[in-house]
Formats: sequence, structure tokens, C-alpha cells
Amino acid sequence: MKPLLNIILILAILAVTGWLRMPYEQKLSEELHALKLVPPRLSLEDRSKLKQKAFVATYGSLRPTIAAFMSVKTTNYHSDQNWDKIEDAFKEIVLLDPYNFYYWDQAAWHMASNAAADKQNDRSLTEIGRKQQFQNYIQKGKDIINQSIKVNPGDWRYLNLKAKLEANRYRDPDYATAVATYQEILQIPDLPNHIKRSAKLEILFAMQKLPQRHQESYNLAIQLFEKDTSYHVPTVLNEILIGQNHPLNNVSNSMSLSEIYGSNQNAYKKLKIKWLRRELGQKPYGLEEAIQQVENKLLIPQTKRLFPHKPLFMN
Amino acid sequence: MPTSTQNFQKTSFISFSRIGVIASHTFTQLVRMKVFYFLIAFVILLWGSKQIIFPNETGGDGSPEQELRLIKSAGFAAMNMFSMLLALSATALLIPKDIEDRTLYTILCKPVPRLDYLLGKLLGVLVLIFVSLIAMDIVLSFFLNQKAASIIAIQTEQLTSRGIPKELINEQLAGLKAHGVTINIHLATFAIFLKAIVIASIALLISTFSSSTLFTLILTLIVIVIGLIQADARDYATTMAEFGQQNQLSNISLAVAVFFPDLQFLSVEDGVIDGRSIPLRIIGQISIIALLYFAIYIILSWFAFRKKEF
Repeated sequence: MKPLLNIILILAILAVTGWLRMPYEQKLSEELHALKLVPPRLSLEDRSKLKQKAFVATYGSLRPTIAAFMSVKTTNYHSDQNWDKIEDAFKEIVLLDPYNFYYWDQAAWHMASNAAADKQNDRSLTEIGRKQQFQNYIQKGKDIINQSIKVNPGDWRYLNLKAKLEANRYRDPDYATAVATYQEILQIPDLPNHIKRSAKLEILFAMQKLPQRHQESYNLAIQLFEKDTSYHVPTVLNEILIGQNHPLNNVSNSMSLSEIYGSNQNAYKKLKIKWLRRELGQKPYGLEEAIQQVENKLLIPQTKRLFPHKPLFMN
Repeated sequence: MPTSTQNFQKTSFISFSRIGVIASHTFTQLVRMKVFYFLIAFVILLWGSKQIIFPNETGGDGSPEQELRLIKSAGFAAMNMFSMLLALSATALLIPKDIEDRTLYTILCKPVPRLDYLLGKLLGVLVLIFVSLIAMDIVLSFFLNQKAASIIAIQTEQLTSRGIPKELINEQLAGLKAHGVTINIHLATFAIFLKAIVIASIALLISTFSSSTLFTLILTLIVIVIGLIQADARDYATTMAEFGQQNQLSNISLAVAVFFPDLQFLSVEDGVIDGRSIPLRIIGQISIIALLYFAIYIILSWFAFRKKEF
């Protein structure tokens, strides 16, 4: 009888102390979750998806370890081009370790790059089927990245991942979304300087692909050029040249080639690359004339010119 | 000539020197069981983790961080596992072993107050866990520092060869350095020790009224598992209460939240694996809660043990 009384008394004391400590613990727990010092709570649905791994991963620091070993296993699936298994594996991996950028990056890469490319070349499918599967896997990659942004808000790396995919010209690009995403990155407080610089240049690069935003693109190029010499990269310099030759642009102060590029040699080098890398059928404003001007100034031999002089009788 | 009653000195309720003697004896006893050999397995585990190289297939900069994460997660997982097992098994064996060796009767007849006995025994186990965790922390820091230093050296060389200025290189490598050996590694180890304190005191409480070691082990393990999901149960019960709703599940969740300890808030090593810093006030708060759990379980253990007959 006495041992039973003891147990009842112990349980009663535990109940009272438990009741008293509950509000304090709840507050502390919320703070730890806000600081992301403890793993996020798994919903019942997520637990059922993870099955036994959820039980094992309940114990501290086993979650990232299990996720790491699962991710090593996905290299086999990659070799076998088993995209469904990769997708399923990464769904579990990001549940186990949701704050790890590496897994989200890998998952999106497998879907949007590898799987999409594989389906694009899959001769067992019809042409429509290939295109459909290609777009399907790109969308899966985008969905993964969007999910990662929801789980990791305010982290520039995930937004950067999204912007890069949207700006990828081989993956159904959406340059307007890419520009908006890069602008969102610039709003993040305490952003490292090299990321700010990179984001601004990427905005310009993506904006150049949007013909309707020609004025905005030119204004941004001028702004970056005047800001710092670290922005005197071909993307900016070429955009200034092309922008000031655009018939619809409002140009306040037209710059000469030497003002833009520093020297004729530098101008020729950059303009030549721009010309050779332009998209098929594209004729950037003022580029051809600028190249011809520089070729004349530098006395480039006829055989080496991009625009050799035409014989007089062919005019 | 003084009488025997005058010679008799009343035993103090608690004596730190007595507790110290019992603790040191317990520590020596446990060390003789060759528990430190696990360190060899720990070193092999970390050395193996250090060899794994994650492919940088996407062109991003996630793979060097991932390698450092793996070392940390393997190290902390092993620390957790070991400290839990030691806290469980060593504490569960304390009283039954003394009963079997018949040293318990000798000690209690001294007379050694039962509280001193319990505290001394538990302290011996906790000192062993503490020493083990210090050793594991040193080993983890060594391997992590080696790996981080080699990765940073490679990255610095690559970035320097691209003509990137030193300030920019330092900025780019700041994230990587956060995954190396920082004060947070040691704070996370301390949090694991706090978890071991709570687990050991739970095991001690159960062993004071349990009739077998196996029962103590199984019941403590069940309490630990429930303790790790107690936070989810409490969160559910609190949310339901806020909405003014009640059902069977919320009642059960409330009971779980009240009776069982929350071990999840002692699992801050997950944040350190992600490269986050643990604010000192958080360490202070979790220490206070862990010590409160310890105090409650020790008092209850003494309550259950004080009149126990063997």
C-alpha cells in the first residue's frame, strides 16, 4: 500500500511541477524554433511520409546524419537516371534537414537540369511527350525551390537559386521573374557586398533580354558605371553603348567609345565578343557601327576584320 | 568520562565531503569497466566522416559546408548516443549493483544519509559523462578544425588565383568559417551534457522504486522517447486550448506535456550543425530548466528511497 501511495504522490508532484513549467517551456520552445536552433516540428503527414526514419530522427542530431547518408545514396539513382527515386529520396531528405541549402540545391538541380535534359533527349517518347516531360521536370525543380524559400525565408541563397533557374535560357526562361527575384534579394538586410554586386549585374543581364525594358536597362547600366569601377564589366559597358544607340531611349549624356571602354583595344575586344555571342538574327543597336569604327582606328587587317571593307564595285 | 550518548554526533542532513567520496568511488568503479574504449570508435567514426567528399555538381558553394556538417552531425549524434546510453545504463545499475555487492548496507549503516548516497552515486556517473564529453569535444574539434582549415586553404587559393581582393575573399569565406570550430561547438556539447543530467536523474528516480534493472532501462527509454516529442504534444494541447477546443487527443497531449520532461529544447546541437550561434542567454535558460528537472527528480528519488527496505 505504501509504495502505491508513494507513486501517487510522486505523480502528483510531477503533475503540479509540469503544469507550472509548461508556459515557460512553451515560450522557450517558440524562441528556439524562431532562432532555428532546434529542428522544425514534423506534422503527422510528414511523419507518415518518413515512416521509421521519423522515429529514429526524433533523437537529436540524428536527422542531419540520416539525411547525409540518404543523399550519398542518391548518387546511385543519378547513375541509373532513376528520377522518380531521386525525387522521392529528396522529399524525405529535405524533411529531415530542411535548413540545409545543399539538399535543396541538389534536388532542384536533379529535376530542372538532369531529369529535364534526359527527357528532352528521350527517343522513346514522342516529340510532344518529350517537350511535356521537359517542362514537367523544370516545373518540379521550380516547385522545389519555391518550397525551399517558404521553409527558409529571407535567405538569399534560395532566392538566388530561383533567379538563376528563371534566367537560364535553356530552361524555359522567365526573365521578368528573374529580375523581380534578384530585386527581392537586394532587399534582404545585411547582404554581403559581393552578393549585392552580383545581383545588380544579374538584374542588368536579365533585363537586357526584355526588349520592352530598354530604358530601364540603359539607366541601370549608367548607374552602375558611375557607381564604381568594379562594375566596368562587359555587360555594363556594352549595355551603355547599345542603350545610347537605341532609338527610343532617352539619353542625357552620350559617351564615346574610349569613355565607355577606356581604350580602343579594350573596346574592340569586348565588342567583338558581344557580336560573336549575340543571339541568331539579333542586331544590337550601334554595335556594328562601333566595331567598324574601332577596326578603322586600329587599322585591323582586312582578313581579320569582322566587317571587312566591301570592294567598291559591290556597293 | 563522557557517555556514549554524549559521544554521539548528529549526522548532518547533507555533507558535500561525503557526497564527494561516494562520487569519486563511483567514478573509479565505472572507469574500471573500461567505458573509455568507446573513444576509439568515436575517433574512427570522425576520421571516416572526414574522408567523405560531397560532389560539387551543381556549381554552387554548398559542398564544402556539407562536408563540415557531416563531421559535426556524426560527432554530435555519437555524443548523444553515448551519453544517453551511459546515463541510462550506469544509473540504472547503481543501486542494484550495490545491493548485489552488499555495499549498500555498509554505506547506509555508517550512517550515510540516503540523499547523500543518491547524490554521490549520481554525481559519479555525471562526472564520468562530463569527462567523456570533454574528450569527445576535443576529438571533434580537432577533426573539424583540420577539415575546415584544408577547405578554407583550397578556397582561398582558388579565389586568390582569380584576382579577388582579400577583403572579398574573407567575406565569401565567412559562412564557411561559421561551420568550423567556434564556441558554439562547445556550447552544444554542454547542452548534450545537460540532457544526460536529466536522463540520468530520470533513471535514478525510476530505479528507486523499480524491482529490476531491465524494467528501469525500458521505462527510462520510454520516458526519453516521449520526452523528445513532448514539445509537439504541448504545442498541440496549447493550440487547442487557445482555440477553446478539446478532444481526447488534446487531453492526452496535455497529460504528456505535464508528466514528461521536454528534452527537445536541449537538442540545440541541430542549430550548431546548421552553422548558427547559440546566444548565451539561451544556454542560461536551458541550464536553469535542466537543473530544475534534476532537482525535482532527485528530491522525488530521495522521497521514494528514504524508507525503502532491502
